[in-house]
Amino acid sequence: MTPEEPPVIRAESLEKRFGDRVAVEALDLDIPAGEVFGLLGPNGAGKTTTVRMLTSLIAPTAGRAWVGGHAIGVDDQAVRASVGVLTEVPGLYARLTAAENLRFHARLHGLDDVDGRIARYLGLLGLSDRRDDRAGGFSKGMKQKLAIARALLHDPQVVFLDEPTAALDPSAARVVRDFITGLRDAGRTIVLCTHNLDEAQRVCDRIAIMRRTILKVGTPETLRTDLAGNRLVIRLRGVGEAVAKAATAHIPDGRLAVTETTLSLPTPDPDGEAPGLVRAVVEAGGDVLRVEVERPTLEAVYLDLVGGDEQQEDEA
Amino acid sequence: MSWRRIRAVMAREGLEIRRNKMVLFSMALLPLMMVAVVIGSLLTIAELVPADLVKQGFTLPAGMTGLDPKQAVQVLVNDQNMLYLILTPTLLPVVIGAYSIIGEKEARSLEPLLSTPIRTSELVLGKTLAALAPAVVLGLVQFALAIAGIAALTSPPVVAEALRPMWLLGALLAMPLVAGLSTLLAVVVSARVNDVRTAQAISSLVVLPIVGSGIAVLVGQIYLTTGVMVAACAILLTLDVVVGWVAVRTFGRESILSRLG
Repeated sequence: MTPEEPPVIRAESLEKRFGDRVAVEALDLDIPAGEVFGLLGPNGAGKTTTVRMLTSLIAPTAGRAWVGGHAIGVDDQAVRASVGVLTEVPGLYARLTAAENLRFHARLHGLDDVDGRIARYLGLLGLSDRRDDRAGGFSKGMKQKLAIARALLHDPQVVFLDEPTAALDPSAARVVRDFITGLRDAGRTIVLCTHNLDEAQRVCDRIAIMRRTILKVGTPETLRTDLAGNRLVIRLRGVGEAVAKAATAHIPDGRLAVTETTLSLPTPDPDGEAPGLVRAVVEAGGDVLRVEVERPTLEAVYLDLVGGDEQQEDEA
Repeated sequence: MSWRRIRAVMAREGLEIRRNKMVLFSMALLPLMMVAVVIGSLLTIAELVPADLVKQGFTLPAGMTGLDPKQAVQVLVNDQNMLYLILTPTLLPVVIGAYSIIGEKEARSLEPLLSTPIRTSELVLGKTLAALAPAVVLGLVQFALAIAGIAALTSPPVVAEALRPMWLLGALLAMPLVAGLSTLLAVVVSARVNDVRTAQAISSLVVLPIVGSGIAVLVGQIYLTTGVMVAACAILLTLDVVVGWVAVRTFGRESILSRLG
């Protein structure tokens, strides 16, 4: 995003209350075009509520937001025309065929070349041969793929995907993830709601960890390193007094943890610190078995931020 | 308002209705029964009329003096049945109308639908017309079959009475308007309850005032004339517009989505 180019999605102090319950508060977002942005959080964290506000399905209690240049609450019809939404449950019409489901949504969006678009998206998602089969007979994976086709049929500027791989088997989940990656490569802006950390890590350019508000936002790598940091671990046959003394002298700031067989150093730059520390240990007579860099998982960062106990509130 | 989107909603609903044979069967059953009632009553009640009824002191109502006693009774029986025929389509769209919003909510298809650019007025109108159209078609078929039955079993003067302007106005205008009213009320209920069963239970009650008006005519509290039918049509049209406006204004996208997740 250049300084002149406004973000495709912008939210300022967005808030949503349901009676006395605060679902989302003080939410600020800037998402540039072509980014896959992950909203990561436990159940009840406000992810679905946030998506519903940004797709003009529900009105914010306070704050402002724009999607594709259209203001939420002011130009809601234009907002809905510019977004594609994959809801948590596919929500297809079971008695209608795959093509009929798509045709209905194409008409609601006022599209031309409806048959061409249907053929293209069914082909992209591997459903061409099921075009005239009723959606009620589809497997969960096929339903999800059809719902994705429905969300993309009108070539929306922004695509919101709410738990796109939930309840899918691993192979179907992989197909959907690959498709999301393909969308990113095609320049679509994607907002992905998930509590699947692995998925967020693999697919998203940036991730916001949220619990009612955004607790932290960054790339998967910066979230890991900024919040938990890397750890340089030197494993030895044994850490004698001389080795411990030499190592502590080399790292005198108290960061170094020493056990009977390991030296452990939390550091943002393990590659920079490893050579000097290993040299000091070897010169002190230490027998180095392995030098490892332990990188914290996104899960560790996530649990650190949101806590282990997930909220049990129902989402709107 | 986009008629393209309204037609899209109608077309989709129409497809679903056509593919749900139980709904189609239940909708067609009542009109067919009403046709049977018309024919059956002509075959039984009218046939029981003694030929010397006038001699026994029976006075023909005003306007029927040109008819013989049997024809007069046939006309009276038909007049009662005509009102049933006009009111029957009131009941037909209620099941579909009651399902229209809450059914989509339960099937989880409402959120994807509301995520499109469709306006509330387009959605309500599309759903209402989709439920109303089969009811009106069945109502007109029912009327045509009943007239055919009357023509087959009675004489031209009786058929002419069944086709006098009051009943034609009733069949062609009052019937769609009253069915439209019950459909709109069912859609309003559907948008405000939490499950399909409750919607259908409440919607079946909203037709009571409409049916009650019909009963008032049958028991002589209201005497139907062409003028009364014109006035009834005007009142029904006004009510349709008012209830349609209320349906759109009270359709809370947010509350529907938020209620029960």
